[in-house]
Amino acid sequence: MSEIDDGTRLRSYRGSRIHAGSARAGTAVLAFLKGAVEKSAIMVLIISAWEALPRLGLVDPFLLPPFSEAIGSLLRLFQSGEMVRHIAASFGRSGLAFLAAVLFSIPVGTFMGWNERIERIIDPLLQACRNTSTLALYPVFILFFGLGETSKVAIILWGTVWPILLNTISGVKEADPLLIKSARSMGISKAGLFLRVVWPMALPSILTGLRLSAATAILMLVAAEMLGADRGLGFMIFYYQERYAIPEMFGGIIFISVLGVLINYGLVHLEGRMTRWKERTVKG
Amino acid sequence: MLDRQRIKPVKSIALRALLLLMTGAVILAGCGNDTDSAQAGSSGERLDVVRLATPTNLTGISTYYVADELGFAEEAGLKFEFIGAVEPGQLVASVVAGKLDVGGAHINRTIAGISAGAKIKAVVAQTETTEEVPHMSFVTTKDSPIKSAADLVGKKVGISKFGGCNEYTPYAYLLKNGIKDPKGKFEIVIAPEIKLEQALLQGDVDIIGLHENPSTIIKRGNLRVVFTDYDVWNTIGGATPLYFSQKFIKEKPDVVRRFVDVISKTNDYVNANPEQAIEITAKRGDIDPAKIRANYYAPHGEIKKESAQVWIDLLTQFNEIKPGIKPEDIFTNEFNDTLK
Repeated sequence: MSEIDDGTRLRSYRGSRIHAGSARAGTAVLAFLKGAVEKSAIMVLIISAWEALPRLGLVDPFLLPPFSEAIGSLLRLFQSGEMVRHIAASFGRSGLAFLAAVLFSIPVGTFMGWNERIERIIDPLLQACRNTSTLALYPVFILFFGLGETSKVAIILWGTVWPILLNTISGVKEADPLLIKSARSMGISKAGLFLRVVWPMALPSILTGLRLSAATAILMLVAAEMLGADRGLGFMIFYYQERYAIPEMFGGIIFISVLGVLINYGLVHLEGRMTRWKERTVKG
Repeated sequence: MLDRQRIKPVKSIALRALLLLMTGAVILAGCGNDTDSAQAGSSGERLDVVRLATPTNLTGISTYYVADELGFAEEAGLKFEFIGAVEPGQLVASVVAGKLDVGGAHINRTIAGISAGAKIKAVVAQTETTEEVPHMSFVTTKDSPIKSAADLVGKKVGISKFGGCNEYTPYAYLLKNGIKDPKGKFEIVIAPEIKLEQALLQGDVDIIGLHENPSTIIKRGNLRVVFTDYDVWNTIGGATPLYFSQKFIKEKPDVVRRFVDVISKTNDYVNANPEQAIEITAKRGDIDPAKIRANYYAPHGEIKKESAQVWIDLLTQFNEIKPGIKPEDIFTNEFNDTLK
């Protein structure tokens, strides 16, 4: 939630910078800078420590190379085109799994959220599945999907499907019954009820689920690409670890983290935009 | 007013965050401190502790267990402390970090680690390849058309990891059989070693690399061995010496000397009494003795120069390691008094 607030705050700063007088713009810039310092302070601190520890000889650089060296290796991997190959493979897998998770979870979640009895019956299975480690299920994935692309997408899907499914269910379940009743009393059609009443009310919850799932889709790459992969961001981390190319390995880890953060920010902004109507209707 | 209120908590938050970080750093540093390495033995004299990885997934005799059980370690004033299973890929890092005193896997891992800057040195040899007990066997199904090196071209080869013995043994096999530039001649599929047989039988891959004996593989009935590292390098390709960190060697050369002595003695005992050694390993590891193979151990624990050279050459040829690595960078027999 705080991220959404931050987003709108930043936007309003930018807006006031353009439209307002210079004095107010000055304070806005200051506030913006202060915000930027606050947000980056902890990262700067950690990265400095990361850089300093191996350089001062407090940590063996074989185990933890300086941050700059990891970034250097990452840039070299980009230059050689190696990175593009890994990114393309991983985006394909994560994207496909995420899409499948969305296409499955939103309709099924809506159905389950609407029919409380079915939800009660299926919920134990959902909870059991959600809490089963993907790593422990490897033999099952190999059995059903082999070692090809299908098994990797299936493993990512397994991790990705739960947050969005459960959030859709709870969003639909918690839709305000008063609004549903009044819409019904006005003779709304079943499709209209879902499209114009239930889903809009469940949207914030669904979007949170989407955000969690998208993050998982990236995180699961590391697990999925342990199996039968020869490219991909997760594969790359293991590959360089096996070869004791530790700076390259950390380069891959940093890239996955940054990617996760960027996707999260992108979705937070999308969330902000898609639920803006809510504020308006409340205010208006 | 509002601004002042907002500034104050920010300051204290920053302060608190800093405190939190410092506490975290102190705790981390505290965890890193190693416990006192000497411990009183049953006889009253102080034994030097040597921390070893607990042997897991045992398919062969464990000299750690044999030396411990027969009292060789205690006789030499050493106490073996098994700190838990360590994944083979993390052995070098654990030894460099000082969380483990001794590491040991196939010599190519030691070479690759040293090339990447790990300050370690191999001091005593463990297993050696023989025709019956090679380091690796490459296996296919009984009715598979793969019979020779040429048949491997264009096939799917299932191994547990890129690099090392898994990837380079088949390359060396192709090279030996006149197939030039073997990298890329077949497709590599990675899966955990225990899942490879399933993948082979399901038809996901055409041939798999296992660290098992041909005899036990054939016994399963539906499998056939195409080649082993013995076919590629005879006995020199499968060395698995034990290494210490250079820091440990410098600080406690005497402990290293005694440890090397214990392992050399155990190697010779195991070669002379394989049944007893299997029995001890099975008992300590709590596994079925039938699953343990009687590996052949390097006599007197001597590390042979050519066993390092063959892998240095191969890894250099494929740009896996930086050029100019010499066998002397990898191992030394100077702590081995049984050779003098």
